[in-house]
Amino acid sequence: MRICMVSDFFYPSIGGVEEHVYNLSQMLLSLGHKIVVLTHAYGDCSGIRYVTGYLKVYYLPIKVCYNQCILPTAVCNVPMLRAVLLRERVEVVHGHSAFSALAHEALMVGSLLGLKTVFTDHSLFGFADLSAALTNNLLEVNLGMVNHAICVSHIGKENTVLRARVAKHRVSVIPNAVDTALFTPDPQQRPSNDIINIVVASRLVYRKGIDLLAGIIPRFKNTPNINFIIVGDGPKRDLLEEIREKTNMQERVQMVGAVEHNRVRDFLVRGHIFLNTSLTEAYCMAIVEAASCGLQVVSTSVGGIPEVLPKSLILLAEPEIDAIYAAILIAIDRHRKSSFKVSPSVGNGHLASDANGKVKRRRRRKVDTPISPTQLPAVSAPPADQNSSTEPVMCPYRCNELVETLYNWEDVALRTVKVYDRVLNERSFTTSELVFAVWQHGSWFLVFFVVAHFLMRLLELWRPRKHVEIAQDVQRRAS
Amino acid sequence: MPEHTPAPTPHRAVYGFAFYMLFTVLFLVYVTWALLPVEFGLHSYLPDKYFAVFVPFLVLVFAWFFAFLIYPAINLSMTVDVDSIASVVDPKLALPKGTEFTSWSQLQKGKVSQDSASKKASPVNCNLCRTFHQPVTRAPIPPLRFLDLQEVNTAYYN
Repeated sequence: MRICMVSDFFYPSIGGVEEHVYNLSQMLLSLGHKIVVLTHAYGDCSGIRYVTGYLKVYYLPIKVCYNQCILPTAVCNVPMLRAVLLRERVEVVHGHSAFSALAHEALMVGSLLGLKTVFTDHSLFGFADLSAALTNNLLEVNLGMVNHAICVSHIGKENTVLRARVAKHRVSVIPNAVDTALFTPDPQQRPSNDIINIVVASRLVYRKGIDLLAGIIPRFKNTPNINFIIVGDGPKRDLLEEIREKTNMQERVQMVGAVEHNRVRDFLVRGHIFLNTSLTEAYCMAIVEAASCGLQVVSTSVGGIPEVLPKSLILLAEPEIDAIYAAILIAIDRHRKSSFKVSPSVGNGHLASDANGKVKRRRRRKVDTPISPTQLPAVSAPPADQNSSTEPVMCPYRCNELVETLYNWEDVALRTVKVYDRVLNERSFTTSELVFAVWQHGSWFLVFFVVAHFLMRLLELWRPRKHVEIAQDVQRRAS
Repeated sequence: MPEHTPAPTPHRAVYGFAFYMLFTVLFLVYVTWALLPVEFGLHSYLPDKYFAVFVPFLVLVFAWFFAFLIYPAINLSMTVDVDSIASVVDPKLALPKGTEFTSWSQLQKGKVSQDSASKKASPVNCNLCRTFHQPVTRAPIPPLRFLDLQEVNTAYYN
């Protein structure tokens, strides 16, 4: 099967959509499919490139307009997109991200060429501001021309069905995945004393709830064994630096800055608790990566987050400072009650159990003092999950094994192939059906659609399909 | 602290409603200006009614020029030459930061340093689960890197 992934977001840009497109392409390549990625040029990164696994990437020379997206003209790039789709003999066009204007244009060109189209949505959208309203309108028109849509969570599917008015039987839920072989726990990296590290790894923007984090950090001013590791960069970094200076926690709040995605694990394994304060999420990759590294996850209960991880791996809280603070206290308490310790394997099981018993007794005596109820700060907001304080902390290695059974890229690739098989068995849209769909969802778009359609007819006369030179496939696979 | 926030707030809703009313009134004024007959005697105080048709057409013609001539021309001008180094490799991404591209051997040198050290971890004895955990033996998805032109040519033509 020949699939074309289209998005404005791909390497050298860094983000969740980029990781998803790359990992999914790699797994589909390993299953034997032919994958081509379409994106726009990034500076000198222009033309055709080959990345790991001989994945072919077309960096089309298209000018970027806003936030790494091209200008949505809907007709400018029809000749170029048509040439690429015909040269590569694409059967399925897979667009990614509702923000990607290139994906929308490629899906329209694919529909006009009679190809099957699939769209993956990675974000939740509001209904309140002008940009969301405009993007909803454009997405509604485009999803009327798409064979099938994929959302990364059930909340995302509900959001897409509501705002794009697409029939619910044409939307599948395929979650994101994490590479559990890359995000493996390493408890040796954790501090050996009683210090507890809380890791925050996200972009420091409003949507990630950095204002909530700025309200939580001062509350740990008087608990000297709680440290923060903040990974990421963004406009709200100045706010966190200011809070750190104001509360005199320079040694205890470590601002790492922007980190490559494959180096995030080195900071995750140093922590005991992962904190996510997002205000809206369709599917939070960061908490899955943290759970795969063996951290306790504390997160706001927004969007699709409650359906991402089971209760044994996550502590949910309302997006308020008091509720998040209470959840962190529960996580710290659970961690102190845990007697997890990694010892090297010894031949004599009897000696190992004896040593564990001694360590357990000693730790219990030490732990008795800090968990006295009178010493804990009073919390005004109850946690969202009443039973979470009684569940035991899971071993980091058990967390990794559980996440591997829940989310792995092989499963995501197989489910995506099922969607491809389903759309390939459907009948292609005729031009009248496409015109009716566009007229039904957004009659204003008919102008662009008709112009694109006649442009395709003109291109068929100028460069017929049978004269298009076929691109050569890679014959040999690297060892 | 007062900051810009994308959350819906009553303050922004008031602005939205005010803009909605403003544009509605402006649209009514425009239609009235375009359609009122000249016998009312207002034409001497307002601009010529010809502009009611001319300005929208000017906007449409400029949009057409931009969509079919200017923007494709910008994109064509961004296309790299066939003899440019950027058509096959991006030196800024392939070489370490700050290094200037001088010869092809630098790109080859970067490839050699890609060592694949495989760590063989022993089973971990965990007192919490009271069992031994086997380390993950599956190889992770390889990190994204641009293939060297030599590798691509070998895969295509050998």
